Amino acid sequence: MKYLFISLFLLSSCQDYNSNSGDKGRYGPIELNESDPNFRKAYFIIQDRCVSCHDHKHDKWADFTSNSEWVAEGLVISGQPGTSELIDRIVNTGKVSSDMPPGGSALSDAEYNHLVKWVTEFQ
Amino acid sequence: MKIIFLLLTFISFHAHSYSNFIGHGYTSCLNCHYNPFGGGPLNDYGRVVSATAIGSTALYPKSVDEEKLAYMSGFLFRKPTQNWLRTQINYRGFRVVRNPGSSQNEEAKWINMQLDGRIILKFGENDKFVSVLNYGYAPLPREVPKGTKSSEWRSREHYIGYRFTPKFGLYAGLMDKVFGIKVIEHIAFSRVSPQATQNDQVHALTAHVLGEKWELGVQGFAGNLSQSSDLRMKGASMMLEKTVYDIHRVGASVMKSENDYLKLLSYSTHARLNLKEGSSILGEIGQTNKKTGNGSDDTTARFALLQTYLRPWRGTYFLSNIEYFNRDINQDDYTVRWGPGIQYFLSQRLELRGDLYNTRSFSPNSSTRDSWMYLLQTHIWF
Repeated sequence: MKYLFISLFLLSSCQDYNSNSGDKGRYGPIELNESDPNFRKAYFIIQDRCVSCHDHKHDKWADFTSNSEWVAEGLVISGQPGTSELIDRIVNTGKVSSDMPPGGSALSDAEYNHLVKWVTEFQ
Repeated sequence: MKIIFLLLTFISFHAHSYSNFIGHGYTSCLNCHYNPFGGGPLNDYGRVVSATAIGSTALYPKSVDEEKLAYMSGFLFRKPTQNWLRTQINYRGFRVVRNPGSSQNEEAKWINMQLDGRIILKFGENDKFVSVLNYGYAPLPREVPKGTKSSEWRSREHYIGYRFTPKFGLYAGLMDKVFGIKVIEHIAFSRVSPQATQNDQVHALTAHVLGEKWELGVQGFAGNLSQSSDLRMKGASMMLEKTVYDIHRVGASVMKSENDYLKLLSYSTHARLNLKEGSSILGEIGQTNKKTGNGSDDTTARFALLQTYLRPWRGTYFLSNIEYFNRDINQDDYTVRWGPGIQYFLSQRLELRGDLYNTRSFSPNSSTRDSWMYLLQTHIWF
């Protein structure tokens, strides 16, 4: 019995998914293919606030390292934050269908304003 | 009555982690749990307490007295026939409804949150040596990337513990981090911010010291060894609690941890107040400094928690929960989550619970709409 338990103890597997599973993608070194000065900060806001769900599950936002990828995906319309889905779905806009991110804390004014600035001044 | 007294007195003083049970006079988790910091399997004493002080007797005929309830508190309703092996089965599931009533956004589902089989080996006087294996099912979080190959059947915790004296013990293995008030709401900001949620167990060495009027935990951890080494959060934590006015507890915690991409420093202070007759108030306030390896973040978040548990009669607790979270203390944005709840221990081994949550974020010039969610929970253990 003792040996059976010790074996179970040693062989038992642990859950390897926890709060840190996405750290490499979120906080690891990243090379951005974009010269737009607003992009880098926008990238990190999206990494921090959106990709925990919008990476693989619905989309691959973690891999978007340039403005053109956002446009190609139809999520951002250059110079038009009001009609860009990425901005439109953020909860700060106060629209009925705007519920992102769900459950947790909303984007701060500073985060939201930067995303709007990024899309408005899109290069 | 004499038998209950004997059970309560001589069966290990070492209990499922409900920090609010300080309202029943239990300042230390060690009274009722094998893990001195709570959570995981109940010891024999904890099971008797659950049967004779926590659970309602509504389902039992009057002929079933407290002594019988105590006898029935063992695995499969039987008194253990030996002293060295304990087994337990634990299930928790709930229906969660987000945005109830919304024709566009209502989302409802049943989640089997936990199904655990537990084996405890214990030897020596007062369970001097314990070996705990807690294996079972837990779903991957909803934000897990699709295609992630991580088993939903796994060891929740496995550790061995040795108490050199009744006041000092060492524990080694996979276990929860020692930090703050271990509330069962794993979405609580006070658990998410310092990364001490239900999936954040670590391989650790933990020392537990129990004084006359205080309790200390010191833990060194090497992360979750099932993860790749760059992701493992390695670090240390410490929690000190002091008994005040004989029945309340105040405490403080600090935890430093890092992996190749992230450094966290969390600290908090908390209080657990005994309002007597099973009622209590729990409060915690703290901060987490987060530094990321790629320079994307160097901010300090602040969190606060206030929970009340009012027990009008045996088996029933009226709850209220208020939480505050500010992601960056240099910004004025913050989020508040609050709501009432009810917890009903219909009988020993059966807990029914309902919670309503309202979440809203505030900025200096705006606020979000109210976000509503409710949970209806069933918790069964054998």
